[in-house]
Amino acid sequence: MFLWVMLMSPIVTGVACGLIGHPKIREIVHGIGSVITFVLVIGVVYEIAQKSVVMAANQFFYADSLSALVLAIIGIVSFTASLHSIGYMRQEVADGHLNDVQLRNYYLWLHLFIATMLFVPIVNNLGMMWVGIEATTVVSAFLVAIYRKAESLEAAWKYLILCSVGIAFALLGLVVLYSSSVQVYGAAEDRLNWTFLIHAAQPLPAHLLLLSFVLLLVGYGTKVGLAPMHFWLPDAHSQAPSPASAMLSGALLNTAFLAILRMFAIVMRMEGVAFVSHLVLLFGLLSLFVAFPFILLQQDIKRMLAFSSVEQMGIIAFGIGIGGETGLAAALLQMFNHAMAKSTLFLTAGNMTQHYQTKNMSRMRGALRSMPYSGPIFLLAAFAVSGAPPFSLFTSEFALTATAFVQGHWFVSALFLLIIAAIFGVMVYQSGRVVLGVAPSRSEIQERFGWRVAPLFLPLLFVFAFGLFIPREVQGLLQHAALILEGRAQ
Amino acid sequence: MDFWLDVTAMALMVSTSWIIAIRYILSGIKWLSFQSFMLSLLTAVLAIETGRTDLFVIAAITLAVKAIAIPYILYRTLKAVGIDRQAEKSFGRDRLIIAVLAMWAIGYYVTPDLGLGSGHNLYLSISIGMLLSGVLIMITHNKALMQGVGLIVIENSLFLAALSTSFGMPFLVDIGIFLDVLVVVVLIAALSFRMDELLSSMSIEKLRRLKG
Repeated sequence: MFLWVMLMSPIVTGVACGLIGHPKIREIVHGIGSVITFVLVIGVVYEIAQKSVVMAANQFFYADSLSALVLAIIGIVSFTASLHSIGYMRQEVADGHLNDVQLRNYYLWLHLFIATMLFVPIVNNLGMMWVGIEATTVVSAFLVAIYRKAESLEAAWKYLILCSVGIAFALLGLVVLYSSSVQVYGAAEDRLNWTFLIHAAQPLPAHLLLLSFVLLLVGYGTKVGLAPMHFWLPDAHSQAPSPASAMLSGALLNTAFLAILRMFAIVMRMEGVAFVSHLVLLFGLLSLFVAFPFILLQQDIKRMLAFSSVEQMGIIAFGIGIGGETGLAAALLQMFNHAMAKSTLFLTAGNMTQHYQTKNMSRMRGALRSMPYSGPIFLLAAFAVSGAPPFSLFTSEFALTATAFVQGHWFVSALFLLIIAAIFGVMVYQSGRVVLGVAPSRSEIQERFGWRVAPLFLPLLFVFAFGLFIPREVQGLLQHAALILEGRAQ
Repeated sequence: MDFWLDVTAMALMVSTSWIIAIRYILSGIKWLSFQSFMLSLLTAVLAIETGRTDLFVIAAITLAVKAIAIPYILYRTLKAVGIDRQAEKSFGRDRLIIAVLAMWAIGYYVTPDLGLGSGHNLYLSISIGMLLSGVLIMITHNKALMQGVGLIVIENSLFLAALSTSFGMPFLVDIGIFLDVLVVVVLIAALSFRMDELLSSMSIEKLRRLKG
């Protein structure tokens, strides 16, 4: 019941925003709808934390600790981005980048995007999960294409085509999984359900299960932005309006990652599957190495952040590949922490591009002085995302590396440390270019506190707080989720 | 019944091979519609053979969505930008025909080792061949609409794979996939149209602004 209401809330809000012509009333409806969706999502997360599993609609919906983590990420990131949108979009309209019809469409697609993302972690059937993820691609492609420019058209096109083809391979993986499940157990509607497969993987033919995993990893990996399937990501994430970029990078990547994790957990129920972990680890390391030069040489601020997302997904994949209860828990914590820091970065980068009227970092200087809120917040979040103490990402990356060494993966751990240290240096250098120095004289106008600033403090709070201590309830949730992945709990 | 199974198998192979080699986008859309129609026919034949009602529903939806609605949307878009557009290919026709033959061969030799599904295993080979050919269409064609056609060929191949190994995916999943595919095609049509408007060409060669 609760789950249905949670899904319906953004749909109703989006359709209402799409129909209302009066800009002021539309903003109010959008704001109230966002708050309601946020409260409902947090309610569901709380319920899962209490009962550890929530089911509805004859097991069509199934949510466990793993779902709770991703739901919390989607809830917080999209709430922050929605509120930020109010100020950001007002400015876009004032600057003449968007007209009122486009604005109406923006709010419509934004809420539908939230709805499709919320659908993914709570469905039981892995096929429906595929349907949900494909739906997120389509809906967010509308958001990417919202500016009527050649660049955004190109970004939307690449995004739609590459992700659709990639995800087609994931569907082939599901076909293989489903037919091997039907072959062993006989036909029934629940043969592709997570609740069924998690107990039934053992007798399935091993080579088919592995084939299916590889297809799903490559397919959903395209959507997650793991190298070498990441080519669409910097385009789409840089061309979308900044609040949408924050949701693409902060929420959607993790939603797609969840689909990989579900399949990972199923395969981990078999004997002798070290190959699976190694493959995930390999994709992770490759993403880190591919992202590094692009962050180093980047001039476009949003593209730099997008490549940093490729790097972060690499770190998470590395953690999943390392495995073990602590490794998996650290990777999941990293997922949450990255979502908070990266959405803050994209939103502040949006404020900066509006302030300086450019995305080129060599023409942005002195943000610390000319933007008294966004400048410092950007700097803090940039330090956080590159893994500096005392912020939250340091905690998770430290736990991850420590686990890797304890497990005796000396060589890959050393490689990992080397590359994240290099990326740390590059990220600090790049963000230093933007925030330090003397601002160009025409952009001396001071930034005021408002819709574009206030929402940023919510994710920033988590970036600070989780660096210092992690509440017992959150720890319990993460550990339980890690046990699910390891195949020791359900 | 076996006669019809053979006919549809042949028709699927011929239509897929033909789409790769056509000269005009319009004929690509027509052959795509024909291919989807054959897929719907195959589903209906299997529904009669097994007596499963859900397969009849799936056959009807395949006919409505894939054989009629999707080609119609693509046709309307093509009409808006100019009906006589050619499907630009980056390779010559003879090379493409050799390539598509290789795809069928790969499909034929790879699938028996899988040990997947029972009975109509020929269809699994055809579906893998179709999948690879669909990717080939997308790689070798420059026009945005033809990439859409290639994507639908891929979708059709996956539908065939599920049909041949386990009589389709679970019912609700199939419905969801149809919905997704339909919306994807609407978006492809809208983006192609806007591409033609903005860049005065539907060629994806023009999409070269975003780099690094």
